[in-house]
Amino acid sequence: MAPGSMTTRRKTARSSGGGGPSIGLDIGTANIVAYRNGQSEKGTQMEANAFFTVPSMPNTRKILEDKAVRFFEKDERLHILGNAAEEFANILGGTTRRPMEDGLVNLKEDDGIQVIQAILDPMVPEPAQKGQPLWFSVPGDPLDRNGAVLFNESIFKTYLKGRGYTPRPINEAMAVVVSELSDQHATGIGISMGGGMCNICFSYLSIPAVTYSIQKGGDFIDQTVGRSVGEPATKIKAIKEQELDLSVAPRNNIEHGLHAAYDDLFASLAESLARVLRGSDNVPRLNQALPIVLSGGTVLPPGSRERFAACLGEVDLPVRVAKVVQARNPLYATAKGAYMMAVAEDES
Amino acid sequence: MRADRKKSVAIYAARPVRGQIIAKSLALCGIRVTLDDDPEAAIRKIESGAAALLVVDVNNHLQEEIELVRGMATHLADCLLVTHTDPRDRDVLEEMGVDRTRCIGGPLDPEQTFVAVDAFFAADDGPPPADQSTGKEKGRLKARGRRARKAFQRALKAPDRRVWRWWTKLIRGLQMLRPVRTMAVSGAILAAGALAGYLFWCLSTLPDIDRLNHYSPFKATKLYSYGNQLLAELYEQRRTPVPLDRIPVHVRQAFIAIEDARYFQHSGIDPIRIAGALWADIKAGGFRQGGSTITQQLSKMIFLKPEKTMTRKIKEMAIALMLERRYSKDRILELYLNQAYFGCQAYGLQAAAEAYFGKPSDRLTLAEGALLAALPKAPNAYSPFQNPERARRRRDHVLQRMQVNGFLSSDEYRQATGADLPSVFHERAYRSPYFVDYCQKYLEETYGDRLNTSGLTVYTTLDARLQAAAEAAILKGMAALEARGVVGVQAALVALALDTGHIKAMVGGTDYDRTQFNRAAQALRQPGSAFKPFVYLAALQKGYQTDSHIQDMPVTIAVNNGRQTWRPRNYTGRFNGEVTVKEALTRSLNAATVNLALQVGLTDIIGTAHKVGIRSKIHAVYPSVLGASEVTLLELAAAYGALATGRRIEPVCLDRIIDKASATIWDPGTEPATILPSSAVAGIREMLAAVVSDGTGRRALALERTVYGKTGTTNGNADALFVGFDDRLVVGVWVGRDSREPIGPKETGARAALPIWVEFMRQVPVEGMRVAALGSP
Repeated sequence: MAPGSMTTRRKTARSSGGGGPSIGLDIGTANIVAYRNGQSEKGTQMEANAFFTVPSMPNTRKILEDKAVRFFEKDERLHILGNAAEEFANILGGTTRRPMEDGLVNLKEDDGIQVIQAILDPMVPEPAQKGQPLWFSVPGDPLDRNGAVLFNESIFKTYLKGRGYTPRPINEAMAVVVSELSDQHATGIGISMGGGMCNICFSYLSIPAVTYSIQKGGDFIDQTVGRSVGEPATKIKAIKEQELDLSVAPRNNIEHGLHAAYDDLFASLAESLARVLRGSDNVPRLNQALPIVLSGGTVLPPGSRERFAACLGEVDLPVRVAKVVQARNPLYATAKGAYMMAVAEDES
Repeated sequence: MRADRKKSVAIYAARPVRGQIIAKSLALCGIRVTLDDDPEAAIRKIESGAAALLVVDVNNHLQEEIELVRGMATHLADCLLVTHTDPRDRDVLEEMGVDRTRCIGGPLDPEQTFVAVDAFFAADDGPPPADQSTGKEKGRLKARGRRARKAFQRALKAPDRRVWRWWTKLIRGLQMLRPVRTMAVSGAILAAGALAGYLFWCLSTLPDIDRLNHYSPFKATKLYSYGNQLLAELYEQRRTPVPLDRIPVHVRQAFIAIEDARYFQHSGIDPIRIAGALWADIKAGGFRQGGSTITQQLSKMIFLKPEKTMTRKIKEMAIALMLERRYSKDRILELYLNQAYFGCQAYGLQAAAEAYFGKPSDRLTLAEGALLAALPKAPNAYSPFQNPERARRRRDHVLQRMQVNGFLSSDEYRQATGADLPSVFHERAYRSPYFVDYCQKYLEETYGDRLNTSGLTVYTTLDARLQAAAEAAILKGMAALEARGVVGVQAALVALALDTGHIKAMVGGTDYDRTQFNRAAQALRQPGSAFKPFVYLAALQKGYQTDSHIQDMPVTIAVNNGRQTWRPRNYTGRFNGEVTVKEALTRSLNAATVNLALQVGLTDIIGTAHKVGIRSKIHAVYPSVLGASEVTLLELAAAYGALATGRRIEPVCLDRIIDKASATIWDPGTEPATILPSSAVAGIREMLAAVVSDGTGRRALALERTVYGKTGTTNGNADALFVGFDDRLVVGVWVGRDSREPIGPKETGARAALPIWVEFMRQVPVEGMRVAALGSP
């Protein structure tokens, strides 16, 4: 089943067939989300897609085991996984490592694939019935790098197959459209701004007519600002996530930097959107104005929506924009879209 | 077959996505479609009668796709619709035989495609009657095209169109009314619509009150000593949330009486109070009285900005109503009392009670509660410290309101109005300030700005008894120096537990209020002879024994790239010839130490010093072996800890950290690693014991127990040190001037620093402390 066959009916019910509850998976640079159980979002899990390495010592191992922290041991080092990794990195004043970079599996990390699989294992239990479909998000091809995501997709397909599922990829931004615009015939533009990249999908009647990505995201903001103010990126990330409000004037150097970096990201995004849509044969002539949905952790700071809308006003899009909205839960929107695809397939 | 053919379309598109777009659009409008990725399959559908119309989408810049259309036009010209990318090629397609009206060029246009398909089927429904003129037929087709466009747009809109139907009916109804009435009604509707729109806008931008379920106000971080003595609070807003049941009833009544007497009667908004406030404003000719209930004030404090606008007021009322539906009166009152600002950086009742009265909120008297209830309206104007008379009048007004509302008897009122106002602001504790600063710096690096707002409970390693002993010892040492005419000097002391590295006491200077520079942890000073044990440790590790013989003879060393020479001299000015290793360290012989260093090698000595805990750079020059490279007292003490135990001692200032959810988020639990062989540790302990029994540290014999250590004095008596240990603690003491000028004549480590060390060790309780689990020596 392709995304194009998604019905416009809102489907968030728990699946009863297909051998077990449906799961939608969003594998992002910063976080991995496994979406379950429909609108209540109960049972949905989110884990940081990160790890933190400490030397293997009996005492350390015991502490981790006592605290039920997830880790694995390799080459006399303990790899602490997921949210716990960020907690430990913060406490010990270090920086977590990422098994993914710029939206794709980070091939510079020797243990990257093993780390992602270790994080995924408890989030994706083996299905009650072999071959149950599982929809997972894949990024769009980065601009000027066609085919870059194929390796990425095949890694996760192989892994999910090994777990007993029938893997079904869905473009990350298309999943956002499915999740947020299903009552509008899944017609509009979905944008998922994650840690490593921004994914964009122009969807018409649930057909992903144009998909692409730019390799800039939350990490780009953290690193750019960190470099310019001489602070570690992790500190910038914490400030961005906990304090930043783009709707009010910046109060210090770090906030000045964050405002500037956000403006740069939004401007790049708007400019690329205009360029790609104008250059595509797949964008139909439409009389209606379209909604744009923003999702992903990078749009969480208040004022993001308004700032992006302002940047859109500066470019000449080939379609009219009705409104720019934020996803109901920006962190879960992609996984929810994948989940809705799974439920739709299960019911069809 | 005719029925199947009717409104059936076969589609072929060279680019699948464009084909899907056409197919979906037509299907949405009720057309039966099949999409093929093979043109032959699509043609067969027409030939077999399964479809009546073939829609072909091509890029007419590609020759092979144009040829494809040419082939189809040859056989299927009557039932062919071509969508193509370049509208300029319409003539070319017409020449091939494609009907001009069935060529749609330019960007993919689903609406136009549907109109063309609909027109095709209109023609396919049958020819018009023969008597109809061509003009009428054109008009009929145009009308059908318009209907098709509308049908397409309707299909593409969101499914719910009830509002539109209702509006259409309304307009039709209005059209039937007479014009004047229509205008009046329209005006009223427009006005009501505008008002409704404004209200809708206000209410649609309300914040999510569910945030209150996870509401977590800024909360101070508290630092405690190892024995649970509060050392300091770090905060942006001084606040300690307290549950309502720990707030006395008379205090709650004081707030209700002055802020919202009908609190338990209304549902978030008090119309009677609003009307009263409005009347008071009219009489006063301006804004004098607010009609806000406690719930409204809470809404404003937590959810809204403090602006005076109608929009804010409407939102405040709406949120108040929502809060009252969601939360109990007690919960709202509790949130209000913990959120309100009372001046003096005190947020919440508990912090206010501590700031104004130096006591917790559950011990507030009636008069005290009334004063605090008087403050939130204007904390500075009614401050008892700034405007005592206004504060008294406002407090008495609160008491009067309590009496009017039946919360007080006349006697209680009279008694309370006679109570004094507070006159002293109670600052929060800031004990052991140098140590607190040291911890704060470490915590800030880990938690950043969150430190002052996260409400952490930080248990430090500081032992309050030992800290008091350290401060007393420094005071006594300073007094002794002053008695000898030495004034203006500074001193520092640091004590570490040998088994854990816990910092048990830290004094960074003689007067924190005058200078906050921590001389125990921050000051880089030359250690002088206190560095020598690392030279001897390196020698022991290279096979020397304590009774090995070395030469205490003059030695000349080229320094400064050979441009100068350096000849170390002993303190006495004499050379002793052959001496044992132990004797050389005991008597702190410089020449013997340098001669030994020449044998051992500078690299090994520096490596040994770093290995045991010296973090500062040690310059690779021979004066370093006599303590010329600067170090901090803290790292020197930690390195002596390694000499005592054979294990690497890392100074630790935190024992554990608990967040406001009572979860332990810091619990190091690591044990020092063994880094020295026991034979070397035994040798160095033997020599450092001899320093005390027979050498420069003899003053420590006054303790009448076995202790170990080494004095240190730098050139011109600029620094005086003693670093030593017993079986539980390693303690470093430094005396000197910030300007690095001499302390005074004969003020050596043994004379200026050692007495402080001895005094501190004398005060260390022998019982009640954990005994270090030492190595074999």
